[in-house]
Amino acid sequence: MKPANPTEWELSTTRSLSGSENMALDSAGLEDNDAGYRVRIYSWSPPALSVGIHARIDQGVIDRCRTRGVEVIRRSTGGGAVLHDGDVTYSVSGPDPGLSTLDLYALISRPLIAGLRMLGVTATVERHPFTAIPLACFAQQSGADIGVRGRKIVGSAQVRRNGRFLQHGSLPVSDSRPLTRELLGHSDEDKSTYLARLVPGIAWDGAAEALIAGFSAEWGSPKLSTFALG
Amino acid sequence: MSNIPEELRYTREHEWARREGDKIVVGITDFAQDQLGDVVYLSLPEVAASVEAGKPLGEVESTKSVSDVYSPVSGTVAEVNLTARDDPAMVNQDPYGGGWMVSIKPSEPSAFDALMTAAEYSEFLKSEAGESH
Repeated sequence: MKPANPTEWELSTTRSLSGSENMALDSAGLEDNDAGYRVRIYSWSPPALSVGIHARIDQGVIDRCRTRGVEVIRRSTGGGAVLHDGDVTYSVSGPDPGLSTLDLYALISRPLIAGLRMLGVTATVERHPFTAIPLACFAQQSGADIGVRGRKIVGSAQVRRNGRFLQHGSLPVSDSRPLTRELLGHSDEDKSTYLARLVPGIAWDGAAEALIAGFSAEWGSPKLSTFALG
Repeated sequence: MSNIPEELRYTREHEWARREGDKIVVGITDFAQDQLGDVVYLSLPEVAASVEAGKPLGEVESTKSVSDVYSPVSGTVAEVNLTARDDPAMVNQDPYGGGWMVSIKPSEPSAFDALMTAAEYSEFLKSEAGESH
């Protein structure tokens, strides 16, 4: 049985916020008991390495990020480390609909896949279970990531707490794999892909508009809002 | 059909509780581990930590999701399952045995009796399934 879509939701787009500002906004969605479904599409400035709540990173990673001007911040969600450097990031928060982990991913995957389809990209939910937290999040496919012919294109993570949920994820526009490998200090093969490889000439605005159109197509028109920090 | 041992007690947040002497052992149910998917990390309290009924005592990170584990009773943590913490897959493989999470010395021993029985939990699961369809 397909999980039912939200009937009401709010949309905001924020550009060029720092890692800590972005994570504060996402956490606010998780903690605001009065809020309904909120979708935020956002970008990061400066680039940031977001690290899953239980993932371990060593001092070498932190030092290399500092040298490169990359902010390091913890997420409240699980998973590994993700470099945010020109990617389109989405977050969805709201009252916990009581679905299983995979069904909640399915609920949110549909608008993401619809948005990618509008750019001519045919993506599907990829399900490959794994049994440890890989640091290079995009080097592995797990849970319900979204991929194109077996290559991950949207990586997401989720947390559920006190009757609410937060899911957020990253759609890389350009190829961040070389810088990711340099910052994490390894050279593991990474089978992920990025949007500009599939849609030549695509920029952040076009990608963000497509994701927003995907949410609108699946969930109906949103209420537009600007979330305030603090 | 998930496994619901008769001798245990249960919560609406899908924890189970078992009385062992003057302690109450706690874990998450077969239903919960199935819903979560592969468990990859357990965040458990320290021994001697205080826990409160209905409040989180730790977290479970499963395949790409993090969820709270709620304490069924108030009291003090007597023991923590370090084996499961080092091998979180035990929560999936043996949720009622090797996947136990903490043992609590309850401040009110009779609080255990107020928890749901296996029959009540089974009804609760059926009613939850009915609501989401």
